[in-house]
Amino acid sequence: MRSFKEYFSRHRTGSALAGLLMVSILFLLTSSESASFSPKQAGIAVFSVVQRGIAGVGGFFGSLVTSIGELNRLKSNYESLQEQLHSYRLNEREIAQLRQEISRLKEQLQFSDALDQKFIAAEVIGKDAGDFLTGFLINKGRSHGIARNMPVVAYSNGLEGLVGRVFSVGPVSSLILPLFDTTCYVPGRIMNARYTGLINGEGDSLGHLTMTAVPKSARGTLKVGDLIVTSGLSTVYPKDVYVGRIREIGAKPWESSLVIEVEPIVDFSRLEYVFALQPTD
Amino acid sequence: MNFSGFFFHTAVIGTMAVIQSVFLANGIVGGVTPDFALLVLTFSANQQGSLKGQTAGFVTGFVQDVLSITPLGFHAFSRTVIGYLFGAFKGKIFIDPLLIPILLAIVATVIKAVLGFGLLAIFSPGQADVVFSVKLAIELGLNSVAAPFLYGFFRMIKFVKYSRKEQ
Repeated sequence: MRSFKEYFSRHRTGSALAGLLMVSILFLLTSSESASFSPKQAGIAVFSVVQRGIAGVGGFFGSLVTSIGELNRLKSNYESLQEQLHSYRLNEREIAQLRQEISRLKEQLQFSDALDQKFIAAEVIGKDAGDFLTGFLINKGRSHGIARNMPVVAYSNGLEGLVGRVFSVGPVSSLILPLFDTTCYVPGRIMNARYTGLINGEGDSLGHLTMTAVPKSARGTLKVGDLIVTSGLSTVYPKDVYVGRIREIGAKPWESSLVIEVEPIVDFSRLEYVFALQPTD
Repeated sequence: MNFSGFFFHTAVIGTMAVIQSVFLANGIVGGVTPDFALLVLTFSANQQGSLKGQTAGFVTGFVQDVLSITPLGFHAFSRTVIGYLFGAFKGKIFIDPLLIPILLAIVATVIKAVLGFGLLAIFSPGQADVVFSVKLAIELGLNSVAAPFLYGFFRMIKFVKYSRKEQ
C-alpha cells in the first residue's frame, strides 16, 4: 500500500493523466441515449443554463450596441431629413412666390394687351424717401422713353385705373406723383351722371380721394359705387381712364357743390407694376 | 499548487468554449470557427505545466462535450492529452510573437484531429471519416491566424502571472 502511495506521489502527473483518460473513456463507453441516467444529459441540463445565460447577456449587449448604432443612424437620418425639409420648405415658398408673380404678370399682360395706347411698362422699385411727398419710384427713366407728366395707369381688379403722373424723370428711373398726394389734381367725370369735378388726394397712404366742384343739383342722380373716370379736360390725363368709385356723398350747407369721397380703383398698397402712357400723336 | 491560477485558466478556457458555442456557432469561414478554447489551453498548459494543463483540458473538454453532439468524453480525452503534452514543454520552448504560436496551433489542431479520428474510429466507426476533411484544413488556417493574436493578447494582459510561482 505504501509503495502505491510512493508510486503515485512520484508519478503524480502520469497517474492523474491516466485517471483522467480512464474517466474520459468511461464516459465514452457509457455514453448511450438509452441509458436511464445519461451523464451527458445531466451535463447538458447544467451547462445549457450557463449557455443560455451567456447567450442572453450577449444578446442584450448585442442589442444594446445595435440599438445605439441604430439610434445614431436614426439621429443622422433625422438631421438630414430636417435639412431636406427646410430646403423643401424654402423651395415651396419660392415656388409659391413665383406662381404669384407669374399670375400677376399674366394679369398685367392681359391688361397691356387691352390698352389701345402706347405705353411703357415699369416696375415699382421704391417709395419716396421724403417725409411730405408720397411718390414712388419706377425702374424706367429717360433712357426708356419716360417723360415728365406722362399719365401712369395700372391694372387692378379687372379695370384700368389711374395711378398718377410722372413727376420727375431720371436716366433709368422716375418718380411718380400718385393720385392720393395732396398736390395732385385730376379732372374727373362721374361716369353715369356725366357730371364733372376735380379729384384731389388727401395724402394718406390708404389712397383716399376727394372729388369737388360737382354741383349740389347732381346729388339725386349720384349713388355710392358709381364709377369716376378722367374727363379728358386736361393735357396730362387722357379721357375715360378709371379713377375710382363714389364711397360717400356729402355737402356743406354754405357751399354750392358736393364733396364726394372717392375710393381709388388702384390698390396702392399692392402696387407693383405700372404703365406709363405715351402721348398720342 | 497555485489553485487560483489553475481555476482562473480553466474558467477562461471553459468560458472560451461556451462563447465559441454561442457567438461563433455559424462559423467564420466555411462554417468553421477557430478553436479558441484549444488555443488558450495550449498557452495555459505551456505556462502551467502538465498536471494543471491536463486537468484544465479535461474539465474544459468535458464542458465542450456537453455543449456538442460528440459523445461525452470525446473532447475530454483529447484535451487532456493536449494539456499534458503542451504542459510537458513548459519552460523548454521560447514563445516568440509569431512563429511558435502558429506552430503550437498547428500541432494542437493536428493532435486534436488524430485523437478525434482514433476515438471515432473506435467508438463510432461510421463517423471517423469526417475528421480529415476540408474543414480541418480551414480550421488549421484559422487557428494559425488566431494564435499569434491570442498569445500576444495574453502576454499583454499578463495572463501568466498566476503561474509564475510554479516556475
